[in-house]
Formats: sequence, structure tokens, C-alpha cells
Amino acid sequence: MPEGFSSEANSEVSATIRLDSRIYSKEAILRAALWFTEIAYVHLDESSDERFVVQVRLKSIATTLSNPRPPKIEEIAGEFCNSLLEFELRRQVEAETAPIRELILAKAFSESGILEEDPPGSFGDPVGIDKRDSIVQIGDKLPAPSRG
Amino acid sequence: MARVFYPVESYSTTEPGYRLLPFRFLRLDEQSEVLVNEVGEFHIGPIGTARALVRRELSRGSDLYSTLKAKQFLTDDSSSALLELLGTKYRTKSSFIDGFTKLHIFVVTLRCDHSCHYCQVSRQTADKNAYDMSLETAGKSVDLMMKTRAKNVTMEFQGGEPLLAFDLIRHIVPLARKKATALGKDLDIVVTTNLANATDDMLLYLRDENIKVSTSLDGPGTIHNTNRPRPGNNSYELTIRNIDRARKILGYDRVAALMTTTQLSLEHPTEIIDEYVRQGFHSIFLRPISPYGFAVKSQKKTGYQLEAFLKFYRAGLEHILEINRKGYDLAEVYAKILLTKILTPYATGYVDLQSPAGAGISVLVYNYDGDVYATDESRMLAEMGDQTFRLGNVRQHSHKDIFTGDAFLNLVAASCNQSLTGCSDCAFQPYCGSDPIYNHATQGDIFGHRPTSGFCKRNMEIIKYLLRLVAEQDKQTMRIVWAWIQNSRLQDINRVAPS
Repeated sequence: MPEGFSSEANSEVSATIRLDSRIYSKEAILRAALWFTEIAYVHLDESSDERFVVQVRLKSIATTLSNPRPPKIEEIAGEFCNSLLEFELRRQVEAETAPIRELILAKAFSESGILEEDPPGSFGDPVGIDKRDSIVQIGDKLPAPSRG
Repeated sequence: MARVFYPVESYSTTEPGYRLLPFRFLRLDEQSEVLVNEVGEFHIGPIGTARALVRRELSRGSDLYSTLKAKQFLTDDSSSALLELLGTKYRTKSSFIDGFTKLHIFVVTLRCDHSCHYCQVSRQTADKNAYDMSLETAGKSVDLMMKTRAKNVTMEFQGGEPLLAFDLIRHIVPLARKKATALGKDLDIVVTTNLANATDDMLLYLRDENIKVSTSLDGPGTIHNTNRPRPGNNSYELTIRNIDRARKILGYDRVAALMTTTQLSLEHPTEIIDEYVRQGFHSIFLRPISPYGFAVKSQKKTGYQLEAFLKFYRAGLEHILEINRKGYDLAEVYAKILLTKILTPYATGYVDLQSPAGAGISVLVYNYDGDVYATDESRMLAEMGDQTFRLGNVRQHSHKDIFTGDAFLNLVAASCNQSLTGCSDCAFQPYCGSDPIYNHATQGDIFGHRPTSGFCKRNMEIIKYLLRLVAEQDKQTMRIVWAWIQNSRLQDINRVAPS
């Protein structure tokens, strides 16, 4: 079992999962938790010792026609932890690829060729010295040295 | 003296490692997972493939490395040509947005001679004034339609039964054509009709005006007539006879058929498909049961119905593929749409599975009373008292009023699956779409709750099914798939390169 979490079943329908917040992010926990809200109530708390505490409570364990194999709490707690690892991985991919993704989307939707815009100024005078009100001027003497 | 060459590694780029390109992944089953990149290229591998890719555990010389590089999951050079390519693919996939609303549905009358179980809107009355579009409303609707920026516009007559208001159609068509010509737009016209009242004069008019016909065929007689009662209980016989007449007058390819799926239909996939073959159709759309109009509050009922539909769909698709293998061209429309998104960068014109959702952006409905709706389902909801997706009225609101009004703006806020919970992480995001109206109708919230969403489950299961089908790379199946995507006949598809 990977480090940083522990899981115990409290009863037939509920379990408490403790996750080290230095390893597992709140974002991944929330995203993973969403997919369990069909079959369970999920409650998330932060405890004082840098741990997240996730309470999972199954909505029903009754066998019905539409649900002939109802979930077992140990399986669900295990699935949750596996799912959590997947969501941490997704977070990592998102973080690494966010800049490129934004570039791709910008390229896709840019109609004016925003990313290919010419830099300002004219070809032979890149800093605009010849313009009368340019902030760059050629002076007669050098400025006095100044401190600081 | 032997010539010695440096080992192959010294010819590769000096930059160590590789960069990830944007992608998502999900588990397909116990053994495998699928990775899908931002523009819909996919790769199926054993569980742990994504992890190995992210952790830089792939070695440069390996097949997996080469495959993932070719499919644009990773890059080891900083060429900007790659960004151009990915940007172009993304833009191509999104090109359906260009021009905005292209499909305009005109509900010219609510009057109908049928009383189909699944229809929420038809009225059995001969009183034309009560439920027909007035000439003024028709004129204003055409004006509003032509305000769209799209160059290619489709006007679809619906109802009730539109042929019962044929005079109105005869008034609207020339009006619309004249405006289209003046604005330099191409106008396609379709009429959705049960054909029960189609006289030869009507069919000749449709032929002369280049109007296509879309009719309903729910399956063999027993199924069709059970679904679609009318006085005399002969809807099937009339439909078949009139499809024949319409084909003779308009042309074989100008008559299409759609089926509506009911509980009864779910038990007979092969019979329904065989009926389409018998009637000489080359495409069939295995549509899911509409959730609108059924007070499906109980999620258990939806769950059972969904399983039943998926069983129906898989059985149907298998049967259709077999029919194709035996030499008869028959495409399944939903599979074709999804396969186009999976295997090509092209957009499809299917408004119910796109992001942003088609409601308003791609389709608009002009009701007989002048009310404007985002989709046909929005109109059905209004019939049941829910006006949430009524965007305005042609007599009171301008094009700008409608598209800057609260109803439309609220709708659009929930229209992009890129930003919906559950969808934003989903590997199938480039293939799927969003349907805020479905969410509202089934879950009471336009954003929707993905884990309990029938729309989500259905699409995930079908996409998984199709991905596995493509991954098998059976030559004959792939030829059939490409024939569907390219709207070609199977015999014209010679060789298919592996995907």
C-alpha cells in the first residue's frame, strides 16, 4: 500500500480514510470524491495533524433488481484510494501541460495571428530613435553618473 | 580498415528527456487504460501506461515511445510546427462554431393526425388558427433566421405534422429563398413529416423546390403501429406506401427515415434494422429513449433503462456490421458521428453531442406562436410548463435580445464540457459534448451531476465500445468504419491504413 494513507471500515456502510496532505492534494481528493457520490455520501475534513479525513458512507447496501451486486465498503474504500492516485496523476499532467495547452488553444482561435504579430516599430528603426517623441534619444553628452 | 560509426544514440537530439503534450486518460477495464490527447488522438495500453509516460519511464528507442510521439502525447524537440499542427487540429474540431446558428427549425403547426406515445406536442384539431404559425410570425421568423452569420443555413419544417400546414410552407419557402439569395447564403430545406397526408401536388412541389424529406419509421409494422397510433391504425402501411411515392417523385436519396426508440423497440433491435434494409435505407440512427416527457424522477428507473438501451445498441451495432460484411451498405449514424470524432480531426454537424452544446449556438427553434427555443426539447419542456429555455419571441425580441438575454447566457454557461465537473478530467472530452437541457430535465440543474447522468454513462459506454472496436483493427471492420465516415460505399474503400 502506498504511503500516506490509512483506511478503516467503521461499519458495513461506512469507512474513514486518512490521507497525508503532504502527499495528496485537496483538489485530487475532491475530484476523486465526485465519482463516488452516486453510491455514497462523502465528507471531507482537514484534521490538525496535516491529514485529510474522508468519511465515506454508502447510500444503500440492499440487493435490488437494478443493483444485484451492491458495493462492499472495503472495496469502495480501496477503489477510492486507487482513484485518488489517478487524480493526482491527472493533476500532474495538467500542471505540466497547462502552458502548452493554452498555446494550442490560442493558436486554434486566434484569427489575427496574435502569436505571429510583428514586434512594434519599423524595420530599420527598431527602437524608434528617429521618432520625435521617442523615449530613446541620442543626446549631446553623456548623462552624469548617478548612484543607485 | 573498418569504418566505424557512432552509435545511434549520438544522432538523437541532445536535449535529455521529453515534454508532455496535453492529454487525459481513463481506465477501460481491469487490464487496460486509454489515453486521449487534446485533439482526440488516442492510445490504448495496459494499466500504468499514463503513469510511465508521466514519470519519464519510457526509453527513447521503445515502440511505445515512438507511438506516443507520433500520436502527439509527447515531444522531444521544441519545433513550433507541432504547435501549429495541434492548433489547426483543435480549430478544425471546433469549426462547427463558425458562423453560429446553422439549423433553424420551424414548427409551422401543432396539428397532427397521429397520436404517437412519445410526442408531447401534437394537437388533434382542425382549427387552423389555434395552432398554426401566422403569416406575420412566419415572416418575422425568417427574418430572425437570416440574421445568422452562417453562410450555409438549413431550414427544417416540423410540427405537429407540417404537411397539414402546406399553404404556410408554400408561403415561407420563397420568402426564405429570396432572402438567402440576397444575403449570399446557401439554404437547404428539409421537411420532417409522417407523409400520411402527402398528395402528389405536395411531393411535386417539394421536388421542384429541392426540399428533402425526413420521415419516421420505427420498425416493422407491429412496432411502428404500436408506437404511432392513428385512426385506422395504419401508420406503417401509409408510411411505406408514401416513402415509395416520395422516392419516385423526389428521388431515391431525397427521402430519409428516423426511428424513435421506445421500451418496445428495445426488445427488437434486429427486426427494426432488418426493416430498414428491407425498405432500402442505407443509414439508421439508433437513438436513445428520450428522457423528456417521462417523469423519470427515480434514478433506478433511468439506470435500468440505460442498461437496456446499451444492450439494444450493442446488439444493433453487431447486427449492422454483419449486414455490411454481407455486402449491404448500412451506416449507424451515432457510431458514425463518434467515429468521425475519434478517427478524424473533423467536426460533425450533430448538435446534440458537441462542446459548446448546440442549443442556440448551432440550432434554434421557432414555434408556431413566435416563441424561440434553444432546442426542440426546450420546446417540449415548455409544453409541460417549463419555460427555462425559451429564449424570446420573434415579435418582441431582436436577434441581439435573444443572444444576449439571460436565458441564453445561463444556458451557455453550462455548455462547454471543458469546464464541467467530471468532464474537465475526462479522457473522452474531445469526443463527447454537453447537454444542459438534458441535465435540467433529468437532474434539475443545467450543469448536471456527472456520476448519475444518463447522458454521461451512455456516451462513455458507447465510446469505450467503439474504441475497443477500432483497437481490434480488423481490416474489414475498419473498411466499413471508413465507408461510414466518408459517406462512401464499402466497395469504394480499397485499403485502409492502420489507425
